[in-house]
Amino acid sequence: MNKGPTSSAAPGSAEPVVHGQGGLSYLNASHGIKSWIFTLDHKRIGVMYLVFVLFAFMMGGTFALLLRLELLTPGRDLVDADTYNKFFTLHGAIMVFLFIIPSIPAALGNFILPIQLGAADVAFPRLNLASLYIYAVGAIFALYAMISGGVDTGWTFYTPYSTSTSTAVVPMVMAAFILGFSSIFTGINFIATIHKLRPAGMTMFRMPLFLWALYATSIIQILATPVLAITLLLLGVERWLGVGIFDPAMGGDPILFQHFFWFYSHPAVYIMILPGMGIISELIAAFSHKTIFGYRAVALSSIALALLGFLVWGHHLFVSGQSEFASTVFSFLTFTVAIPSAIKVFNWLATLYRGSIMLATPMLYALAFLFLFTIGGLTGVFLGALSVNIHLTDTYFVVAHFHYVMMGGTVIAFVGGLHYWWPKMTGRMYPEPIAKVVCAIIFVGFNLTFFTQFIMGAKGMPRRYYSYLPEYQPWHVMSTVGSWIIGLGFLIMLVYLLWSLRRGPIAPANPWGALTLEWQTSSPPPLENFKHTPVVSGGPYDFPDET
Amino acid sequence: MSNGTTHHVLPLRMYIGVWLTLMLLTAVTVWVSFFDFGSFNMIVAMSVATLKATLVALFFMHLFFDDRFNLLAFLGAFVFVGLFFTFTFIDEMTRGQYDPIEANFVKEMPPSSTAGQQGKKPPVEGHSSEAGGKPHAPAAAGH
Amino acid sequence: MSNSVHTADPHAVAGPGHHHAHHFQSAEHEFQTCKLGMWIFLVQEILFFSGLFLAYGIFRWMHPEMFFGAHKTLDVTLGATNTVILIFSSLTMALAVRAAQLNQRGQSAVLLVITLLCAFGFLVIKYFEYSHKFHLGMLPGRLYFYDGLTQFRDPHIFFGVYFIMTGLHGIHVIGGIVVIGWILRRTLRGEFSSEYYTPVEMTGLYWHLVDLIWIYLFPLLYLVG
Repeated sequence: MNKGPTSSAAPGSAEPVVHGQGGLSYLNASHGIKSWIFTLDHKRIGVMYLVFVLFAFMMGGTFALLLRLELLTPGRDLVDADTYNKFFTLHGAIMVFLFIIPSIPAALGNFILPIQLGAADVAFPRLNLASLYIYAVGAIFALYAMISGGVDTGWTFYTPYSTSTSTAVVPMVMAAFILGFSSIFTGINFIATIHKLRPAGMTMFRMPLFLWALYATSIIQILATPVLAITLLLLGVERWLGVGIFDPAMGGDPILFQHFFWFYSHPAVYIMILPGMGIISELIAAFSHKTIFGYRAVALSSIALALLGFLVWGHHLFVSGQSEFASTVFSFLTFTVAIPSAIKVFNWLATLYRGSIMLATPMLYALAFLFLFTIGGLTGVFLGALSVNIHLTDTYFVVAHFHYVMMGGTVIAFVGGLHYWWPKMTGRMYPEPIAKVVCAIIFVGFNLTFFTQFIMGAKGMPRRYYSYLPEYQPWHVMSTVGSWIIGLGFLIMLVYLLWSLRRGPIAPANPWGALTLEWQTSSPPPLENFKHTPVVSGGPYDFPDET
Repeated sequence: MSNGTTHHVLPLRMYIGVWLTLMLLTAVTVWVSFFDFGSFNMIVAMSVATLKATLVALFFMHLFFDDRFNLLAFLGAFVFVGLFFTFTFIDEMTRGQYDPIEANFVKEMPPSSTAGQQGKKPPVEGHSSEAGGKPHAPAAAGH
Repeated sequence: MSNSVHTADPHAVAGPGHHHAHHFQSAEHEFQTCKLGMWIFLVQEILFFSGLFLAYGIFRWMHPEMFFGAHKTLDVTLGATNTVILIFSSLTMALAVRAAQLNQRGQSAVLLVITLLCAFGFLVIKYFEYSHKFHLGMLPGRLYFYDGLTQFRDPHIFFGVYFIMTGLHGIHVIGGIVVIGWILRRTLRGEFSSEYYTPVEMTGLYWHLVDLIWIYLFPLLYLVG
């Protein structure tokens, strides 16, 4: 009978596990702030990233709450229209560049990847630290942009407005440029680590699906992010020298900017979702106590999604003036990119079937993901249909679609993964009953906030509008109330997670009975990850057959 | 060399040979630029450049002797560059098929014109032969 | 995908004082991994420049006669000289890596110095080209004031593309000078040997990429048509 990847002992066996207290873990291996700032330990780097991205999430979330507050009535509630424009721009830019893109790979991925792989660290620990520093520098530029007047172009920086507005476009664009390199370095590190640091027996097809997801994500980071970098550079040069490549009066083409921008930004959404999907695979396998149905299909669909994701960016340009022929081609290709995602959803469902389901908090988030991501993904297909897109583009339907996939997808998966690996990272359990309640609160709040936006959008409510016709007001009010419920949920989550650091029950090495390698070492892990280098002799989800 | 490393040390004459070939190809690059191959000009120039680039990559950068994955990664980059180019050009080259106004240049200079074009209105630009003679141009900003 | 197990002695000391990082099994393992990492970085650089090549392609396609006319203001001799210089510097860089591989510290240093001199030479020529253009007003965008080329629409576009492409390339040359200078310093301090010359190899790969980009820039900008 397959026993799954093992270290020198079988999973959950008699080998004495070293808990945080009494044993030396990565947390107490060294002390003092310098031991954190100059660390080369991927676990500490992951923890610092986690703190940063959670701050970014709170900042981006605050802007969201503020803008939703402004939308309670058609008139002015809080701020004027120019400030409102800055709110939604900063909400978008912070959430995309400072939170969601680094969130799973840099925070959870940095911590978990080497351990799940069976390695002692990532391939280039100093590059990893550099990645963190670069993130911090980018964040400082973004903060500077915020305090020096903000940006009002929308996070998409479309020309010609972005080349002529007097707001702080250049600092924000520099922030995104710098943050892009943080992302690229993480990608380089992960690819090299997965190729070169696998222990004996860990073939590619015995890797956990979270690692396949991170691998696919890294491919996108390497190929797409530099195009964002050159786009932002050209935008900056355009503002500074008036070069005119995006200005029709000077012989340029503003749609060219959109091609450049979306060549990155569409694959970027797969950078956002793929790691989340990887987490969902882990959660569903662990909490169904069953191997993932169609492991190979799920692994290869991650790669397929990464590659196909580069073929569809023109679906963001359907009404921009892009040619009808190109739009038709992109529309067709957009339908194909739904296929790998669907493959995953069906395989996850098949995994659940006749599994031994444990409804712990991470599993609740995984189930929420299945529901919310499916809605988000399907509405993406609706939007990909060219003729439908003409009517729905730039309405709240689009806003609802991408929040369902980014928040209902990635954020939910991130939170699920955070809870799943919380005991491993901190050595403490979070309080299970209240965590479940918070999951329900967030689920209800999320749907109230964003389902109403599907309806509004289909009825014609445009996005990024400060004011609106009175018939939309009931929907806006419901959506705003929903945002308060989401806010409440995350606030309670913050409190109980912080509480658990000091007062949570001490976590065992393997609270979930999962089989991937990170559960074969103590919670929290020792500095070198494993006391004995693991030897892998089976797949990552080879649970004993229970039928 | 010792200690179990498996690095080839490539012979000096290989490097010199590649360099001399590159010098020759540079001369060819300049030489062919004096001939007009019509619409093949770009293809000829890029072919010579690609030959030079291949020599640098395979020999100076050791890709010929290296782990094949490095070569795959390097070539893979160009596949994606190709996608970027292809789809963007498909858009730019097929504008104006259904609504001819989308294919026109901005013909009139705005009053606050760019420096160096005081009051002059140059004739509408002709178009590259690759487009087959039909005028194509970016639309004015309408978004 | 290769299975990555290497079984060399994990505590081998490579070169005077260089101990490979603990998570690698050998110096060779570290070397191959660093090479892979560097190639992926180069992939990223290719995609970075690709946007500029695309902008070049689009605008050349839109304004073919203007590009042809404007490019004649570039000095082919200077451009060709720069090409020769850069390719020669690629040779000397490759030979510097080879010398490090052969424990020939002195030769490696000399070759690195020659590479640096070539890089500086390249920048000097570019300085002359740029200042000539600044003087005549062949500048990008709203800075343009050249009084020739009036038979074309928007000739500043060519110069915008020219300056951005050669400018970004030049910044990479400057970056290369910094890195090669640092590697030269480490070579002179005896930090490299046949057991450990990874940073020299990595620098070489970067420098060759800078050369590769110029190999395409030269015909596209100087030899159009």
